Amino acid sequence: MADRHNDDPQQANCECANPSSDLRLDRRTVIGCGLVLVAGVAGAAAMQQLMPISAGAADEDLAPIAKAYDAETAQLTFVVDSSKCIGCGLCVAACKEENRIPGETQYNRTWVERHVHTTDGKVHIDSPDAGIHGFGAVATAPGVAGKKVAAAFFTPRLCMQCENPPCVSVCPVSATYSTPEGVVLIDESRCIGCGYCVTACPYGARYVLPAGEDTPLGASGVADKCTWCFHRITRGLEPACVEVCPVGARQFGNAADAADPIHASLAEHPEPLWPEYGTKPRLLYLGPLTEEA
Amino acid sequence: MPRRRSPRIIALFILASLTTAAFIWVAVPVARGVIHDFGVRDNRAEVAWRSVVPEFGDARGCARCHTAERDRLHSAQHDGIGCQSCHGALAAHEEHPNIGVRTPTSGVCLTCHFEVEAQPITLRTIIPAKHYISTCLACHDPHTSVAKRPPVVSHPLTDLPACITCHGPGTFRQRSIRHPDVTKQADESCLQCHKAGSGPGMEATNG
Repeated sequence: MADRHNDDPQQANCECANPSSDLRLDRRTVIGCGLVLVAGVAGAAAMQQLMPISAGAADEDLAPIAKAYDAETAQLTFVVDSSKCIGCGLCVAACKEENRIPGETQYNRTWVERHVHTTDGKVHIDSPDAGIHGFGAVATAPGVAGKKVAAAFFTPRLCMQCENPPCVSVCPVSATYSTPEGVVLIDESRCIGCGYCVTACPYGARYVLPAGEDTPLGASGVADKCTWCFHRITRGLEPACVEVCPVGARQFGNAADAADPIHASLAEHPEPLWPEYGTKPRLLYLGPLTEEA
Repeated sequence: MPRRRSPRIIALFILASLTTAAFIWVAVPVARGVIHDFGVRDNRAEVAWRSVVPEFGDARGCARCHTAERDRLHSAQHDGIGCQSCHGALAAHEEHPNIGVRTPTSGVCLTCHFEVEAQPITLRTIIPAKHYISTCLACHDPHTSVAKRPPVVSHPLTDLPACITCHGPGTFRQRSIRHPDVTKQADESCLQCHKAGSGPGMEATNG
């Protein structure tokens, strides 16, 4: 059979893999090689479906996205009304539970502050255990005792998801970046835990977890911060702190959707915190915090 | 010209296809890793952060089963507060209804209704030491209205001996077990809730 095959010059020319044939690019050779490539790509795609080892394969199963969610067009907006906050601390506790944040009080993606303005023009701020257990009946900030109170209010704090984030600018390994929808995330496979971002953030929204304390994704020794519950908002849920706030002091929505209730809060002209830093926060405040000099 | 394909050509075709598939299968992930390591942005972190599994569910979904609670909430001052504010994270319960839901205690009420400096004045709070009893839920149903009406008092409340003369332990009109377990209760404690004239027809008797 082999002899017969070798005797047939027409068939020998068809075999592109045959080294003895002169490499004439006739129609059959081209079509044959094309078929091999197409079959290879199809085979690889089929194999990846069966065994999703590469990034990108089966993303949808691991991390579902709500059908209505479009990262390119979403205008995610967070409005905090400091006149409504009652200092209950439910948001701090819910954030820790939802995002598996270590229990120690120095690691917080969100926290609540009590601002007491005394008549001597000073502002006294306390946040015992980040407010996770609520607040004591009387302010405990140093120097507040015995002074006459002019005004006092609570205010929740969290990542502002700046349009111009200083934490991204300073990161030496480009581990932190802005997503298309404007959430500042950390790529933990790159973070080296240097802590530049912690220093750069004027809002104190970041911290570095020491070795032995894991992030929700299982890394340790890396920076961590609020993601506005990225895993929830992409599923069409509200961030956990918004979900549990009993007084509506935290509002979250998509301003690109004209029917979103966030427009009621936006109509009250919320303002960014400390705009002089030029960070352009996406989180805006209503109430007495914006009047604080 | 009849075209006959020998088994050898077909075998070669299959072998070449498999080699190409294996090469692409290995090369694509490796290339992605190299691209990632050398600083070209991909969406790996977004996929990773999206994969966190929520603990808290969607409170709007609770009413799918708990219709009675939903209807009662429409008439309550707690309307608008998500179920998970008091009942805790419920994503697991939503998925597997056999997983129980936390029943709040009075401590949960005090998370909000405890008077502290800097609260908005609109929030109704108590000072626990001055409030009647510490078991909020004995009198207050958080799902319907803020407080149950005290029981109707069917007799005048003035010019009488101490309340516990008739309503003390072992007497003929003993107070209910919802009341605090003390042998002596000053009348003023009773009268915090059982105000004169709060029963029907009492206004005429007590002026």
